[in-house]
Amino acid sequence: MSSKAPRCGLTFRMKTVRVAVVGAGVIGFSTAVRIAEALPICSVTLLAEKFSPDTTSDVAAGIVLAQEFPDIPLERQRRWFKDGFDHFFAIAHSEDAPEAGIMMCSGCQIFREAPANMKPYWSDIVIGYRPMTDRELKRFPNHKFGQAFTTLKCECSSYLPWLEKRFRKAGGRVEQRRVNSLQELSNDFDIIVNCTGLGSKTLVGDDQVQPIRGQVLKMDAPWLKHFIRDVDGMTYIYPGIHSVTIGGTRQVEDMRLHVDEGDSRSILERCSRLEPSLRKAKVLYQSVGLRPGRRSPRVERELVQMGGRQVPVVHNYGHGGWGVSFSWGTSMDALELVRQCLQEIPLQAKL
Amino acid sequence: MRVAVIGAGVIGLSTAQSIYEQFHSTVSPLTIEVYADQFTPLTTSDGAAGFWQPYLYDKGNVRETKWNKETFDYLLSSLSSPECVKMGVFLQSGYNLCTEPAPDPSFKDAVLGFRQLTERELQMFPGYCFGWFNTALMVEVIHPQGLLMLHQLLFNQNLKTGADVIINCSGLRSGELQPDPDLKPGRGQIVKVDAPWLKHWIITHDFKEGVYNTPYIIPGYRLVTVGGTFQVGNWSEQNNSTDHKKIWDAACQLEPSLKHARIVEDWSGLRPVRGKIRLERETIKSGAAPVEVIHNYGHGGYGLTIHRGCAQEAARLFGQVVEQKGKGPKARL
Repeated sequence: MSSKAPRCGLTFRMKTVRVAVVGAGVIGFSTAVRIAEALPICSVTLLAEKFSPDTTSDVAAGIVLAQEFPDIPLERQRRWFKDGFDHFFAIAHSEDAPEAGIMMCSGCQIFREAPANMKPYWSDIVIGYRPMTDRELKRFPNHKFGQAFTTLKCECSSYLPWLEKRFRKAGGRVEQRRVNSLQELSNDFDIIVNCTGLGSKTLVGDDQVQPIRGQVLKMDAPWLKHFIRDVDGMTYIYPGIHSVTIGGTRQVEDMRLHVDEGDSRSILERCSRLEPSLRKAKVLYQSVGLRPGRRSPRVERELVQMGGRQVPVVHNYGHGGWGVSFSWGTSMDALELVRQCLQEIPLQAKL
Repeated sequence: MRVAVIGAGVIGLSTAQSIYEQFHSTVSPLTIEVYADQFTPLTTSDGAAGFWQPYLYDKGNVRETKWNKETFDYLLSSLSSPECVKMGVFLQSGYNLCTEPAPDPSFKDAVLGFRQLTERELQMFPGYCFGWFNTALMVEVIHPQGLLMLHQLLFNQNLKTGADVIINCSGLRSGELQPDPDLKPGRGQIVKVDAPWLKHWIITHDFKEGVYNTPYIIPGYRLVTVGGTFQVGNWSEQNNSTDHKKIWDAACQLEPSLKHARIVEDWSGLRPVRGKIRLERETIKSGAAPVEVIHNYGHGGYGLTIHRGCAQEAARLFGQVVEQKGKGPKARL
């Protein structure tokens, strides 16, 4: 709460605006931090059933890469990606890097056939982007083209606790609670921010959201220093701080959270073909996550009738396999939408 | 034919291997013995970061540039098999940083994806205005078993009489076998730290300070090697706390995240520095019979980088000796 005493003798007391952010994955915490840090008039509470290390974000390798979403203007996606890249880049070059789980990583994306677009929109945002040389491609006899560049990796098992620390420092509160309907929040909160990922399918009835199952293996292979991604999206090797994540699978509408041995064998085989030394690596453990698939992320606001009033709801969900990469950028848009909601809440003037 | 290899660092062992590979089926019997006062993990080679990179410029020494490239290609070819893990060979990219614009280095065609640094990359390293990015190789001896196998293959305890050929790979100590005023120690001290979030090597160059006297950070298999010092004429193998502080402060400025790295240990070693590598034959007339010697020493701070090229050249010289002595396949007719 803040009060001002202007010369005319009127006192305006600004009522604290209570904001609920639902979801504790990378989208939830990024959005909560943005709001708590930028809008001191807001008292922000993050509510979620699951926290790190049990969120979908924790399974993700967190390599910062981009793809084109069909329904979002290119300029907006570019801004999302650039915001995120600059944010992670700054942390990577600070003392915070190891605690936040952020590291720089060089590597390549390889294509069986040369792509139509040789210069994708993100090529000047990542660092040192260039086509791979013939000598470099010799290692991949089944692939005809490759892009080499340096990007970042964000490990959510470290990054989410780091964000939570930042959130609490900005005055945010955290509550462990399963939210079954937005209605149940309307009494205690003025603005609701929905970052529930796959949960939005039931929470807000969005049929566009579908689970896309992904399985990964964490390998002990510290000699691997480069990422390799086959753009078919299914085969990738991402060296991390303490292990190398290899994957993966993309099984739509598959909700199984347990490890599938057939998938394990397939992943090991496909990745070992790209990187033979993996055959000598020990498997540390395996994980499964359900990507919150959607044609494009939903980042927009609406007014929802709850009880006797219209409650502003800001949505930020549906990032599929691109949550980490677009977390900081989309949370900026969500912050703007919250700002717009604030402008529509009447000030209470006390004479 | 009896061959005595003196020195069990990377030069001694790789030369023994090259000779074995090329001649064991044509020269029979072929006994190769490795003599040394230190074996792994106590050799000079063991302290090396294991990073393949020659000095920036070869000053016209095109033979050495060729041997460097041969070594790179040899190591690169090992990557296609899982055996590369046992050999300790892997790829790693990184940054060569200069305080002023400089001509392209001698190794630009040997490494992969060589290019100049972009503006954004240079902004990562305040104080450096120019540099290059490329992918190079690391050779880190992770499993001493690999080299031990070589010992067992070659070591023969029963050499009572003299050898036919002596391969002198004694590095810095060669001066004790035969005076060489051109051979000097280039002392280096390093700090090994645990910083697994680092995936690029960073080598800085200041042409006023001289090679490897400014910071470098080289992530390895599990630990990161931080340096650098290159003190010509300093024979001390003791760690020095002043050197430690200088190295550590400079490296933390270059890479702020190092402040949170756990320091594991310091190590000091003496690079066998020479104007150029001595790789040649010498026939020493002493006593009854002349002794054939092949010298292969003086590789400074690029022994790992050049080892295979030199070993193959030494094997070629060995072939000449074999021919001369009539011990080759022709002699059997």
